[in-house]
This record gives sequence, C-alpha cells and structure tokens, in this order.
Amino acid sequence: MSKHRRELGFAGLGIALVTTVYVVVYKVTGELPPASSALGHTVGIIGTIFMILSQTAYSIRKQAGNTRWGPMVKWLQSHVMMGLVGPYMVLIHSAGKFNGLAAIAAAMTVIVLISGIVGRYLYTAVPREIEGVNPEHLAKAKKALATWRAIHIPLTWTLFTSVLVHVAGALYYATLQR
Amino acid sequence: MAKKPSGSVSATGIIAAGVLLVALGVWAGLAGPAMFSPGKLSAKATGVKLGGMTSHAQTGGSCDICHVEPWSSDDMATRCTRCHTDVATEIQTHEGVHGLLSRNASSPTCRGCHSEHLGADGALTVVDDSKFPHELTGYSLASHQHTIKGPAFTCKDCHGTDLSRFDQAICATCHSSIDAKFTASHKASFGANCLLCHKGSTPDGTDFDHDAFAFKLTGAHAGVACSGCHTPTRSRQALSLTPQTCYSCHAKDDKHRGSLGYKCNSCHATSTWSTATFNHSVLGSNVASKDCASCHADTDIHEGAFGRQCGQCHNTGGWSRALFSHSRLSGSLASADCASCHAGNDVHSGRFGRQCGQCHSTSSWGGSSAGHSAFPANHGGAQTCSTCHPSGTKTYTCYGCHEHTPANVQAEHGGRSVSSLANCLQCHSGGGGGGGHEGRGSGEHRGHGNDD
Repeated sequence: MSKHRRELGFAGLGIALVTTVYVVVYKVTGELPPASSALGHTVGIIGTIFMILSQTAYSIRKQAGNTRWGPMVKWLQSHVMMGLVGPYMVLIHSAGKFNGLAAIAAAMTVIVLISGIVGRYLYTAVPREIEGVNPEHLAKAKKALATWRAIHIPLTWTLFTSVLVHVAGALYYATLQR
Repeated sequence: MAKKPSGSVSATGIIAAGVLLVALGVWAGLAGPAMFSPGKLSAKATGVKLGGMTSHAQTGGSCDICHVEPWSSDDMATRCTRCHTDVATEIQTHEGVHGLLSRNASSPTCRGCHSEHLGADGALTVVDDSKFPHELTGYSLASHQHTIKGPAFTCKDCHGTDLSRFDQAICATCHSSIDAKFTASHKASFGANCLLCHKGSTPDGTDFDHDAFAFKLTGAHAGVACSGCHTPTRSRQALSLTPQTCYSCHAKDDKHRGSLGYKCNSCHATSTWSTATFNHSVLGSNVASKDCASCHADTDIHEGAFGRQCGQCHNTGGWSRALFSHSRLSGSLASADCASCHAGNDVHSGRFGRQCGQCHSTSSWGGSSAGHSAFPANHGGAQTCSTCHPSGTKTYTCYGCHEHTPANVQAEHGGRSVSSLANCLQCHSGGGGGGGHEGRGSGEHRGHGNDD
C-alpha cells in the first residue's frame, strides 16, 4: 500500500471490524441491533466522537500551525480515517431505520462524507511543488478548493447541529423518559 | 506573515447551524416531539377501545401518554396500565399470563416483551425466546429446549398464534408421538391436567410441587421417595386417598406404644424423632393424676418417697417451681417425720424433736401453737417437750423433772397432798420459784393441769 494511502487502509480495517461485530450479532439474534440497543448506542456514540474529532482536531492543528504536534499530513490522514469510519458507524447505528430528525442527521452524514471525499481529491490536486507548475492550473485548483471549503464547512456545521439536537432528544426521550 | 488557514470556524458555518436550529424549532412547533420518534406507532386496531383508543397510532404523537417525564414518580408500566386496565387487573390478581409473570421482583417490565415504534404494521410483542422467563408462569422450559426432532422449541410449537393461551391437549399430542402407549396409560391414570404435577424443570416430573397440597413435605418427609408413602398407587384418585395421619406410617416408630396418643407432631418435628419437645398437653387437662414416674423415674430426687404423681407438687414448667402439698403425707401431720425434709429449717436445733407438726402448722413456721408465751419453753433446761408433756402437748406435769418430785413438792407446800398440788401453773404461771406472791395463791389444786 502506498504511504499516502495508509489512512484508507486503517479506515478499511475499522469498517471491517465494526461490520464483523454486526454480522456476528445478526447471525446470533436474527436482526440488526436496534439504534436504541446497547451495541447500537455504543457504535453511534463512538462514530459521533470520531466525526467530531475528525473535524475539530484537524482544524485545531491547522489553526495552531505548531509543527511539534507532528506533520500536517499525519493529521490529515487521521482526519480522513476518522472521517470515513465515524460516518460508517453512525450509519450502521441507525440499523436501516430513518425517521424524523435522526433521518436528517443520517442524510447530513452521508452528504458531508461525500463532500469530504470530494475535498480530499481536490486537496491532492493542488500541486505541492511550485517548480514546473502551470500557474493557471494552480490558481484553478486553489479556487476549486476554496469553493469546496465554502460549501463543506457549512454542511459540517449543519451536520453537527442536527446530531446535537438528535442526541439531546434521544437522551431526553429514550434515556430520561423511560 | 502568511495568513493561517481558516479551519472549520466560519461565518457561513455558524449561519448554517443557526438556520437549521430555526428550522428545527419551527418543525417542533408544528409537529411536536414526534420529530424525535424513532418510528411510527402501531396502527393495528384491536376493535376494543382502551383509554379511548383502539390503536397506539391514535395517540397522535403525544409522547407523554406512554413516556414518563424524568421528574414523574410514574414508570412506563404505570402509563401502560392506565389504558390496559385488563392487564392491570391480571397483575393485581396474579391471574392470567401477566399475573403469572408479575409474581416476583425479577419479573419483566412491559417493555421486556412489548415493543413499539416499529411501524404501523410492526409487531407489538417481540419476545426473545431464549430470554423469556417462562418459569415465572409456573412452568419452566428447562426440559423443553429442543424438540424430539432436534430444532429448538419455538413459542408457536406449544402456544399456536396466541402466546397468552395454552391448551394442555398439545402435551398429549406431542408426547404420544414419542411414546403413545406410555402417554395413553399415564393419561388414563393421572388425567389430562399435566401441569398439576409437571412443572417443566425436570423431564420426569420430579419437580412436582407437593406443597401445593395440604400435606406439606417438610423436614425428613422431603427426602422420602414418592413410593415411600404412595405405594402402590397409580392414579390421582389413589394418590389423594393416601392416609395423612402420623400413625398411619409411623406406628412402627412409636416408642411410647400409643401411651401418648397418636399425634406425633404434638411433640416431634418432621426433621428428626430425637429432638422432641414434649408437650404435656397431650396428657390431657389433669396432669396431676398422671403417672409421671413412667417417664421421670430417673429424675426423681425423692427416690419415690412421694409417689409417682409428680404433678401433685410440680408443674410442667420446671422441677424447681414445686409447691409441696402436705396432704401427700400419710397419717397425721403431727406424727410425721418433718425433719426428714425440714432439718435445715429447725431453729430449735432438734431440741423439740423431729415432729414439727406438734407445734407448727403447714401454712408457715410462725404462729406456733406451743403456748409458751408466759411459761418459758426452756424452763429448767428442758430439752424435749416430753419432759413436761409426756402424754401430749394438751396436758403437762411438773413431776417429770427430778427437782419436782412429788415428795419435794409436797415438802415445799407444807405437806399438802400430792394430787392437790398437780396444777402448778395455777400459782406458778411464769415458772417462777416460791418467793413473792407467785405460788401463794389460794386456787384449788386439781391434778394435771391444762396449759392452753
């Protein structure tokens, strides 16, 4: 595996692990663990934490610009890995049932995931070496990346807002209001 | 200085979040808390109105009809039974499937078996066969894990489509396919009410709950094989006719040979014969008339001196609290050898002999009838009553003393006849000598006097 594709390998491993657990449970019980089950909640919570970390940790590193925290490429790899595994866990948490606000949060997860994948390839399209690069091509790539960021960040905020309200509702209605 | 990347915090992001929050607020205002519903409620109509509705879907998204606010003292089961009053009645009366399941603390809640939000056609009862506490219904599935063909039992195998009902005919139907001859014979002997004896925890029915009947199997009885009492009965009717009295089985064990009656449990527990607590009530009301020595000969410290009827003096509360009845003494009290018991109480140190009854009564040591209030009992150093009272305490004579010989007395009194001087106390009431006025009286001397 290419050094630059290592994050995809880790993401694949995480997804395979979660999938295996769900397949085993499905074989034993004959149904997917409901979102409200212990396993369903656990997977949902971990997935959400991954998504939040994916977003915040990478941003904080970028803002800080502190090279002692490690190279940006590592943070980007972590961002991509958690950005893939997190949404997968959140979606599998739903057990295929999409109702009300939870459906909106799930839909936003998918949208942000797709947006993130697009962004990842736009990011790699920007040349890192200035020599021999067509300035016009560089300007286009940078513009595309800026446009993507202008779309991706509001989508992310929308996603986390819907997740926040969904978690608050679940805590109140499914945990406190038994 | 290069401009830092903007990260994830942007005005457009905050605006997008704000717009979404406003949209969710509008949605909540229009649709209520249904926006948090994990799925549609069941629309299956029962045809019976409970709480004014025929299906959960008719609640119209009012979550609090079923869900309980965190600050409420209710639980969800309370909300369920507000509408499902028939279930509440079953739980209160311990009847029906809900009544059976609610019999102890480990009983499942409504949610343990019933689900919701699984869609308009979703199942309302979702029971995990392997986790359902079937033993709470009074019948364990321990012996019905797998069918004779191998696969695990399902609820429908025994219950059909209605899990709350059970027709015992299915027992005979299934078991006939295993052993038709035995099943027919067993059914003929014991009837078709299988659950009366079989509770499911063992395959051969040895989990039969005998305590459901009047004769409880406690103590050593619990370890006795059925045939120990029920031989050779082979039908329910014969089983019910098994004698239940102690003596019907234990006559051979009676060491009292019937002398203490036939209700062994008056004294013995079912755990063992040896730790009996004798209940004297089996002797009847008149304990005093019983031959106590037949049991208590070894503990009689009187060694039979007072006969065999200990109850004349003792009660059944303990030997120490005896009340001696002097009527037990044979012959007159005055002639009894009181000192055999009262030597320790004799303040006279034996001076007046062993027959305390000559002066004392049985009511107390005080109040002696000796009548020596004026005449000192130790007059002249007398050691025994018989010195002065040779013929009993009703009469006396002073001539019994060597000093008061008839000759001496006659000489002292100027030669009067001895017979006229016999009533000494007439003049010498205090036992004094010849000085002073005592002994100078002019009374008639009348022979032996009376000191009463």
